[in-house]
Amino acid sequence: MEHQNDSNLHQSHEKDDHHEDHHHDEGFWRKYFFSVDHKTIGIQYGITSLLFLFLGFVLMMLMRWQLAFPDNPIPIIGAAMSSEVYNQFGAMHGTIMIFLGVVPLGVGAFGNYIVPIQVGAPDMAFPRLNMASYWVYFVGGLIMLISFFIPLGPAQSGWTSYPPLSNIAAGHGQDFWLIGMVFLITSSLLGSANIIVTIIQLRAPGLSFMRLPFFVWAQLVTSFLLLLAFPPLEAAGILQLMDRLAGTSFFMPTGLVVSGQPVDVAGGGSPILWQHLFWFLAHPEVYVLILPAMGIVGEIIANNTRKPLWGYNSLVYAAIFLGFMSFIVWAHHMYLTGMGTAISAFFQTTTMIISIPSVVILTAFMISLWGGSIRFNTPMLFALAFLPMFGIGGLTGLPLGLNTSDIPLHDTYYVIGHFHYVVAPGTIFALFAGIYYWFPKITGRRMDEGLGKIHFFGSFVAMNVVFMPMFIQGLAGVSRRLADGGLTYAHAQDVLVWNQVTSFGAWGLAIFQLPFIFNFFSSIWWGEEAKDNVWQATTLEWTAAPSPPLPHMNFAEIPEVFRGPYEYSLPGMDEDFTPQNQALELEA
Amino acid sequence: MQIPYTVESRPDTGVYNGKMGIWLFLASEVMLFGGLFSTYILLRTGAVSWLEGSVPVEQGGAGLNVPLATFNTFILIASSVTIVMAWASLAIGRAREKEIAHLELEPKDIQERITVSALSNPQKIRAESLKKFQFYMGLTILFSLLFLVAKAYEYNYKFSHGIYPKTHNFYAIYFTLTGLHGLHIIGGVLVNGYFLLPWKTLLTRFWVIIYYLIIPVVLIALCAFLIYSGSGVIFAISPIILYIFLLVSGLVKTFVSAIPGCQMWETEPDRFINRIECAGLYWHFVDLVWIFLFPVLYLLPGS
Repeated sequence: MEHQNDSNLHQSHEKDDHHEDHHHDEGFWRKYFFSVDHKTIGIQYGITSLLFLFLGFVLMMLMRWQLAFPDNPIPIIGAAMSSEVYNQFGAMHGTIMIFLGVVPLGVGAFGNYIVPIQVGAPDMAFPRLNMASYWVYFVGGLIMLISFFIPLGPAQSGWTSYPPLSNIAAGHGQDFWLIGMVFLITSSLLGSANIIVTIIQLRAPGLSFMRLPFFVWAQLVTSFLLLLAFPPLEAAGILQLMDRLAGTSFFMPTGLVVSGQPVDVAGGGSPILWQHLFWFLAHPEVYVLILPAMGIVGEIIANNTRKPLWGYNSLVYAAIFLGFMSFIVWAHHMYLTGMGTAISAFFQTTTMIISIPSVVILTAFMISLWGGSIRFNTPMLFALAFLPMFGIGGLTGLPLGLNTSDIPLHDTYYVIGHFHYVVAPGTIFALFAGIYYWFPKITGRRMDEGLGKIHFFGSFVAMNVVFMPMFIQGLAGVSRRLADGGLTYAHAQDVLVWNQVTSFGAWGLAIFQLPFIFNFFSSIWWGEEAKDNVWQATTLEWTAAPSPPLPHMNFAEIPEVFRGPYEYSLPGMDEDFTPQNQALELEA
Repeated sequence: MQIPYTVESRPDTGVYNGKMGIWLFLASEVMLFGGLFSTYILLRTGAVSWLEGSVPVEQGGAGLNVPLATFNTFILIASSVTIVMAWASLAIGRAREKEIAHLELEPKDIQERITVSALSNPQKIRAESLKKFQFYMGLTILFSLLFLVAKAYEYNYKFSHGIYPKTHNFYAIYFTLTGLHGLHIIGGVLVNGYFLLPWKTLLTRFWVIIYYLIIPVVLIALCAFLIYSGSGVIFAISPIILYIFLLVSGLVKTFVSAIPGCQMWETEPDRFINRIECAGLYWHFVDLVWIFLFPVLYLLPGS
């Protein structure tokens, strides 16, 4: 098989000598490190982002010790965590989880690996740009990591880096953060343009837009969000770097006084400006986090209920509408700045409107379950858990979208609980579902179902133990930025005990990731061998490509598509699934 | 297996991959500069007073050099014209070449009736259009460099008069926007310079000198500077480590063979035309940004 591929490649390579001349006779570095094959790059993204997710989780577990037992020495390490280190870990936990963990896993890894195969393309449209995108991301991550070891430590002004606090932060941690962000933004620009062109230009013959799997649609909308929402943050990052390094006053107001001393700047800047630029990215970013997850859940639900997704068209239109609307809701993160009632009214209206497409998507998934003969395998369990968990995250967001109820809730643990329900048991569960679902495609072997179920049920309980108490604390008014978890505040005393519950939940969550880690590595080598279409799915990555797909070309020949993405249980068919590339015969 | 639509356009979308890619990139750039122009609007509307670009510093203005900026505006527009000419000389040459190739299939008597004797050699047409292309592309690069020289003169004039970004928010905006625009110009010069010359031949011929002499010397100078300026030794020697890594991993060699420059005109002429078209689109965008920057910074009255 390998030999055949090589000779095929050789022929094609003669036609096109500079573009793909590294395909045959690849050296070790070319094959595993500087590969232009979208599958290798997808795996690189996957491994790197999983490591960053683990690092962000470790930071959080250390912070949870400080919150549960304030100022007690941490076991093993032997010293208590200072407030500065707590702030640094808090800022870096958010940054690492979002920009280096979840987005690269959802878009970089799954988008890179799955999208080209699902649209029937031999590779991404720009393979070398794709490699550059990964390595720029890698350098950005490296810069963030290095900032832990410089004098005075990494950024400490929250993942939102609000000025003037971030402008006057001591040391160079904030500079590292900003430069790292510029790299990450560049990487996502390269990656998202690549995904868009791949989806629009490289679709296989017959694969019309309304025949694209929902996952591809989700990636398309996500890529447009990344492409258009990230640059304003890059602009903001450049401005803040100018403020910090060149002494300008973009975000420094006139007459700013720090620890009793007037700050020596020209003034005339606006701290609110940063918030506008930042949230102009960071609200679409929320949908960048959730849309790939919804795409994965859609694939897995259709596959495991053995029936078409209910309301495919409304799902697609909802995703597009969600993308458009996400650009005009950003200031609902800024009610506390006192923007005035007119602007607040506008943004709370758009925020209520944007909840509609999310509900459409969730409802379509729920109805898809109706009357299906559901297979409860591990990916399906994670996908099913996504629905109520994302539901809780979404519904608790409604009070935050309304100006009046947001003001007392905004700086409390309620907000932390809300967005973690969306991202942790929401998105990350969907990403786990995706890993279990596509693992056989990537490695040719299945992950162990028993260990997978232990992983799922343990994580499901632990996640809720971690995040549910945050709503209780938040409603009691505990601020979300305290290094001692509210120890010194009278109104927090009744709910302090939940700090320990949450912390034990988090450490429990860590224990239940061990089966996953073991399962992941052992299945690569000793897992049960999987057939090409192990889940009896209909989409091209399962029906037209072997597991794993051929290096540098995916398919023996480009498939032709004749039907929609989820033709399960068609009447009159021998099988309960009909591949997208199966020619029409019975319908005539 | 080749990636489809790298050269020809996809029928239902009407573009080739690179063109869609460059338009998406430009959309992203619009958002980047949009964010910065929004910053300008917000800071200006919130400011108590704002400097007027054309009024000298002694009279309370910003003291920007309007005649020089006008010169720069014209020169950028001229460079946009020349890059179109560069593209057109390739595209027209290619069309003629195809016409002749088509003619050769016709019967002899028809060939004789159409007098194309002067143009009947496809190789000659190809070489000639490349020369024309190099002329116009060289002109484009020359204009861009002139723009940068004028810009450097302006910057230097301000620094020598004690004007820095931190002096006033007007200058903060001025230096940030024109600086970022200048970086885009430099990027364009690098890309256009890449298309100008036969880099594969040049690098293969001089590769020993470049990779074993010039690059190491530059890197060592960089390290010396970094150590001298007080950065950590680890940071300072990291470029050398990176270079050794690239050399050992064989990437440098791959790099040489992977950058044809204008030699792509010989091997894949249609694709080369596409690349020049994309470079041209980018260059027009950089030009357009300046068309906005010029009135906003130099001509608008203060308050």
